[in-house]
Amino acid sequence: MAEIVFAGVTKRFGTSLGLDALSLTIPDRALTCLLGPSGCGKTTTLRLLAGFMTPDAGDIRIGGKLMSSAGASVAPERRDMSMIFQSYALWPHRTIAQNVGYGLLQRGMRTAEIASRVSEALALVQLSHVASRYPGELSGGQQQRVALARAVVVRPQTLLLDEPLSNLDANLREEMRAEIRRLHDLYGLTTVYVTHDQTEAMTTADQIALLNGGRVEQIGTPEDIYVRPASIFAARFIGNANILAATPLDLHNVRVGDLALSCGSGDAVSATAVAIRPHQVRLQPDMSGPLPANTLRVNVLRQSYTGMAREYRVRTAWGEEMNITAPDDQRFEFGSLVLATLPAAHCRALAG
Amino acid sequence: MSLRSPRLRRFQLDSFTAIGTLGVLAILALVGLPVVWVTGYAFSDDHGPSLASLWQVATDPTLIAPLGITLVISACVAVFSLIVAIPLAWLISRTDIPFSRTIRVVVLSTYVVPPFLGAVAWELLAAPNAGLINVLARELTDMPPFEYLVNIYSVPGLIFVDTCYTFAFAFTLVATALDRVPNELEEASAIFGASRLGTLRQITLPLVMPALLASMIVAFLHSMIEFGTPGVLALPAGFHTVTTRIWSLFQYPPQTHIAAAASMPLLVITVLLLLAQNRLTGRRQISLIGGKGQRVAKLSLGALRWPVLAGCLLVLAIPVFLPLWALIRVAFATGGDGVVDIGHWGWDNWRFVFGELSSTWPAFANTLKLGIVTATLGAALALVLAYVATRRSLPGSGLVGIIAMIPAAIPSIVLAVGMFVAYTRPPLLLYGTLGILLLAFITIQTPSAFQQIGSALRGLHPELEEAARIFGATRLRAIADVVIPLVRPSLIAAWCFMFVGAIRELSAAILLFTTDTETVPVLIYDLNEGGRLGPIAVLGLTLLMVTMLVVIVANLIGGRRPS
Repeated sequence: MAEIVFAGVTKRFGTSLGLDALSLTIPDRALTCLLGPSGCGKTTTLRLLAGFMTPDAGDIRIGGKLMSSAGASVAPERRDMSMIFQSYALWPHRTIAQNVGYGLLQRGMRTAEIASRVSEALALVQLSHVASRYPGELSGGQQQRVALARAVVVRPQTLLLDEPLSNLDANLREEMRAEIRRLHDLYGLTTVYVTHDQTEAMTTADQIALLNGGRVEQIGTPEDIYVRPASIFAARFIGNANILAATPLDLHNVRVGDLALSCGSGDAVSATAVAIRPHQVRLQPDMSGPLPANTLRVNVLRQSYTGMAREYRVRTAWGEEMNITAPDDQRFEFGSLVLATLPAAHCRALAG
Repeated sequence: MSLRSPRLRRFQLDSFTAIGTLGVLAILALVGLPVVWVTGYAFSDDHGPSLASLWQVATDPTLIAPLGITLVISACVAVFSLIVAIPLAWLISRTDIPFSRTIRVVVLSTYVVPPFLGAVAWELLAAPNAGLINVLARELTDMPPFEYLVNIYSVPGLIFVDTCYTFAFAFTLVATALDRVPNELEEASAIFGASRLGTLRQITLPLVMPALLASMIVAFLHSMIEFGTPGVLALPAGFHTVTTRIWSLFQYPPQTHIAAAASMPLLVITVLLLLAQNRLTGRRQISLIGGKGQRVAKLSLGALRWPVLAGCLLVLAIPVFLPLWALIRVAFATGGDGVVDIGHWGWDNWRFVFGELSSTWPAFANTLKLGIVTATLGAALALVLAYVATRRSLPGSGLVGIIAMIPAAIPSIVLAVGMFVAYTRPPLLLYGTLGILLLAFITIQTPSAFQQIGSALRGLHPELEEAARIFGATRLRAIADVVIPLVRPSLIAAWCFMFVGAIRELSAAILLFTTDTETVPVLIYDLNEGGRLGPIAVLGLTLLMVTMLVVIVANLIGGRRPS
């Protein structure tokens, strides 16, 4: 069991607050992404978990055992963890095999067994042929795979990753993401993965913990967070939802500008805003007569063609702006008035 | 990983904490004891606390005059160093002068010549009676005997020799500053219509001004605390500088309280000037570094390139080539009077020094022992301090960086006075042993080694160490496996520079040595008082060769980077 529990963990840096009484449970054998903008506390959370930092308040437990508490912590080397660093942190003066074997050496394993475990791990990441080279002689992608091999060869309970893909180019990133997921499943690890990239988090994680201002904003499966954002911040950060200011009308309806909007989900009674994704708004040419339900007249400010679709920027009669993704054959001129329908099923009423 | 109680212990005494704490305590004791003792002695006399010693320093003409002379000499050295350093640095940094790298190396090689040895060489060249220049002048003109062209035993002579072995410090600072002025700034000025001279005056000079002032301060301090050159040149001329006066107070019967009181002005001036320098370089230089690290376009000297190079070499001949030539000449003189008429070339002096002179071998043994132990213990101490300071790994480690640099603000001779007082009494009766010299040398050498190793540690990504930790290494293990191998070039370089610094140290050794603990620089100084110039030249050249060898090895190793 390696369930990780943060209970009211606070970490200050001088006068600024890194983590603000953060509470978080990371389930055993799951891949959890800590996601958030820079400065949200995700790296601090990871470094506290690794034992590189000591909290100012609160406890961190792993599998029920106390690992860190206010002003004290178990040393990193006694936590049975593994980590992949943003800089990879491969030791430039040791060969690839020596890099990968280091953790086993520290665990007091015999030389022969280290050799066989190392070559097994290198084979797993298709790097057997570079075992005797030095990190400086490898490409960025190869270095990343060495870091991965070094991390899993010790069969840790917990694997920590700190923005591991941010130094790779786009197609390598996708490949490595799959590789990380594969090894996570293969060894049944409890993995904590820090990233600021929502796509990375959505495609890799079993669970996403969305962090903001040193606290957990929302925690759930990728689908939970995308479909049912709990706050304006969550809706905006994941999937760039449009946010329109709203006031409550009744149990299911809110007022947005001069329009009564029916919301399929969320809490309309205490709503201050409505969120809707750009691709869920439907556009049609302007027409006379009464407008259909959940429909408003907007002015086209800008459009751009992406090949698969057309991206519109529009403005409502009362001055709020929205992004709308429309099919590529739906073409409206700059300055024209069009009708935008916000299907009730995709309108989510949000408070705060 | 068993945790006995639900609470974790807040503080654990592991071996890393123990070593780090020991290192910090060591430097505190090394610096603190002498400073406390020298200050305490200054504020007391033989009967107890009193201001009598300081009052005597403030009123006794034989103590005030040396201070006045020292300040005049140091100020002149500061100005002249800058006058030599600015054009030289500008030519090398900003023009296409040929062999600019070689010239840089030659300038820096004036570091390698210990000032006392340079002073001895200039005795050979410019002593009023037997100096080569004066003899030559008498032969070429109808100048009567006993008249002379130049006299090195004088205040101007001392200023001249001090400048020779000080301007390199100013040169380094000015050249570095000029290297950093982004070319765009000068081009921008040219685009707005400024002439070349206008650009120099309005853009370049103000930008390097902090460096110019800082280098004047460095030169001033360097000259103020120097013992070797005035020891060789001022005493025969019949005047004292502060350092030689302090030394004279240790001649029998020693007047330790007065010596401590006379140290106070040196200490205060050094601290104040270093604070001023800190402010100067702290404020404006950062915006310079902010410019893109662009290659500086060099001004073309055209047809003047070679004449300008010849001029530079002529200037450099004065502190480097001419004295070396004089030393070599005298070292190999056999017969004749040994200076002007060298008879014929031979090994007589060498045979005498290494075969007959009884103090040679003990002095070399002491010097090498001190060099090796100082460098080894010093590098280890500097590594511990630099690690604690850069990784902020112990409570209060922010202060360590300041503490480690304190010895740089204590003139060596003042430190020696403090050590003399601190270690001539129980429980630390070190006077008369090599131990006291060792402690002095380590203290003096620590700041530069600390800076060198510290900058290497700052360049090392902390994640490299954290990776070792997370894979199961304790902090000490991680330091041994990752940190030390990766900063090894700087460690070795620091070792070499501490070794060189230790084997040529005179300012502190001159107060702390006894017959059994004489070092080569002290031996040279003693022989000079007896006028034995041939053996001095032999000892000096041997010292230089050892130094050169170590510096070359240091450069070879320091220049290599791990792949």
